[in-house]
Amino acid sequence: MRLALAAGLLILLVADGALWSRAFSSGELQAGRLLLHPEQMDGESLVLSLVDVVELRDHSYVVKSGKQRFEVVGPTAGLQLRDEVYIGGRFEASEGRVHEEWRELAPARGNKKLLGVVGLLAAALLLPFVLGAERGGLVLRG
Amino acid sequence: MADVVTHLASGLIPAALFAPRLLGPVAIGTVLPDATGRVPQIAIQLLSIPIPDSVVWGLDVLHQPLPQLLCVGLIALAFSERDRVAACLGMAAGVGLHFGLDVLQDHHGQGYHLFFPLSVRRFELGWIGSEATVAVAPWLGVISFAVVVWALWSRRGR
Repeated sequence: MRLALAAGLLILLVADGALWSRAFSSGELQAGRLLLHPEQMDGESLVLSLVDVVELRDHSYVVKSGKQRFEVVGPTAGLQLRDEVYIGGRFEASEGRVHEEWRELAPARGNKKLLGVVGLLAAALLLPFVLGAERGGLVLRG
Repeated sequence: MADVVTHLASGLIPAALFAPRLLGPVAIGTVLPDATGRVPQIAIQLLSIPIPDSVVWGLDVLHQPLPQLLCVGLIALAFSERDRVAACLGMAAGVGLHFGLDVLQDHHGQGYHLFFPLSVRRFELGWIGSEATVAVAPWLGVISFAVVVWALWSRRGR
């Protein structure tokens, strides 16, 4: 019974993942459109969320999201390499560039990542105190 | 997403005070969306594992309510039959708290696909900045530690 339930839940999880992949690759999701069908994005407003600044030029800069790099046309004053930023702008498909309309720095991002590690470690350390193991599986302590 | 310490604290504090038996499941639930939907992505990028971006971004699906409830169901099967329902409810509550906290944030319209696969619309309330919880997280961590230790100590006395 337990195995059948697990199999059923796994099948549903895979099916949901397949629907997500389809939405992504068809361009229904903007991230998928930008990655796989950039020609469909020409002139479209977009937000690049929490991308890393990897190169500074005179009148533009380059940001990285995953392995994808985008040139962003806009002022570089106040920007430093490795800054994490939100950028709002319009996409120019022919050059694969974004024309910046606004941007916002996310200076606390590094601390947030550190808190992520601390939080996961704390949860892992807590579990042996509140869960036990018996023949039938895990049990709640207390 | 809010930081993980704040997520954990949002579940641990009420659980320690009102349902200490559910501390474990609630803790799992509050970190599960990030542990499954974000940590693998970050690890792949940090370690430069050669996986296509489309696959990495595809992992986003795990940071959504429906797959999380399926994950909760799967993890609940690891519990003994006696505690399975309680564990499932505790983890579901934790997952609910996680998304409740996340949608408070502002990502400039880049919110969460709460209703996928029914809708690809993103949702967020935009009431707090996406890094706003970082400043309070250490305090919440200290309070959580104190109430959890108190709850575990009280249990020993019973």
